[in-house]
Amino acid sequence: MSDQDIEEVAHSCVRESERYFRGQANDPRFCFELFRRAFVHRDQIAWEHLYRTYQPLVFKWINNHPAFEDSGEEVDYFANRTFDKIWFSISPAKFSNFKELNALLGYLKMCVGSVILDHVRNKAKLKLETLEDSNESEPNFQYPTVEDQTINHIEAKELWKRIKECLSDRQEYTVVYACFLLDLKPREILIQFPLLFADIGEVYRIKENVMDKLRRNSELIKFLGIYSVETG
Amino acid sequence: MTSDNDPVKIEDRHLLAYLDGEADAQMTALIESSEEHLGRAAALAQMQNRLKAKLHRVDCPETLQLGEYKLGLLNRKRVNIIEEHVADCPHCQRELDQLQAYLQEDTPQARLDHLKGVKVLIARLLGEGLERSAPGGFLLRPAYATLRGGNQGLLTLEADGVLIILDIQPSIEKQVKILGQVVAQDQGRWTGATVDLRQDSTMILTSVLDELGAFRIERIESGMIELTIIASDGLVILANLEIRDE
Repeated sequence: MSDQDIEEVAHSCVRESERYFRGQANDPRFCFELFRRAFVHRDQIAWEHLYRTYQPLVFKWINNHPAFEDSGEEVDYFANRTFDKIWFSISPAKFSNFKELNALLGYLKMCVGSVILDHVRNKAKLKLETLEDSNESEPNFQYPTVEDQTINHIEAKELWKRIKECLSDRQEYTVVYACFLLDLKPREILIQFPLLFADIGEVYRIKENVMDKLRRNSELIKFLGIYSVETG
Repeated sequence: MTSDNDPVKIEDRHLLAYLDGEADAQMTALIESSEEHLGRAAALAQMQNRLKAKLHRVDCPETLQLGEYKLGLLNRKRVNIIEEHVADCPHCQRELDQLQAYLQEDTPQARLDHLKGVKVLIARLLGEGLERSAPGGFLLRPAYATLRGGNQGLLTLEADGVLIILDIQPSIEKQVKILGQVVAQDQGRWTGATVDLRQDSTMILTSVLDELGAFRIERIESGMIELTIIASDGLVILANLEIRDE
């Protein structure tokens, strides 16, 4: 099969896929070969055939995802991101982890779930950013570019590193982590980490202390773009 | 810090509780009665919001990693990191649950995973002999199950009262095809059952039982094969045999 013409392999893959979807006996080896050529050889023609063959299945998976309806995006949008994601995620070396077509299709479906979760995550983050300076409750969602996401992520990692250096114990770390990374309120922190705090008053007291500590860190305040905070 | 006429000193923790809607009515009234307190609360809110906007889930694994974790594709070190993180992160816990539920829908592998722990029957061959010839010069030999001969060209296997009749015939290019039939008292249970054929743990072919319990699988190469028949209620029959090209 590895010597077979790509068009023949693709044609057989389409035929066997149709049988599969009709619940008939089918041979998954042609489609597996198509995947193999696309990912191991980075064969563009094989990739285009895969895209065409599996686009309807990816559309169906997107439509069936529970978060799709509220996403405000078109099916095409998530389908393109799904194929981008699998293309960049499976290197030739990584392909050896996949022994059969079902495993590859399972991965493709996981990529659908992943891009929709990415969208939900980004939407939540954008909402926090928008609410930061305005009372707008439903911001218009614009997917950040890959470059923007990368820069923001590096900045955020650096900020988190600096903040961690200011914290003195497990309780302080947990309060900051839960408040600002997980967006939990003290009552929710008490539930999530019941062994660390005696009561909600203790969580507020620790939060007060660490915010005071952070506020006194001029470098951090500059990084955050806050120049006139003086509350205590 | 208090204003001139406040009997109670308003600390930042009171303002933080006020921002979360946790302050009681008396404290709320006290804070809202003072521009200075409201100003301090606004400054705290600004700092909180800016920190949240910058740091939101910065330590969470990427969704692709959560998915690969779910699919068992990560090495031990990555698995430990993910599990340690997820233990403290309700967002990732929720996302993993969502991925799990989503991936379990209608993929063949998920169906098999879903069947873990269900009753699995190992089919045994009815008749005598451990090795027999099939038409076309192929030799059938038992693997895990004890396969023994029946009529010429036909093999009959049995698992808990369910009969599986296999007619193995030569096909093109040294391949064989299997015409099979499942016969059971509760025949309806097996209509629509999936028949998967694996070689070297790789899914090679799949088929579905019709209303008469019949199935057909073609283009099988010689070698060890594992036949898995999965009824819609989860009952699984496994049959293993070796097809040798003599």
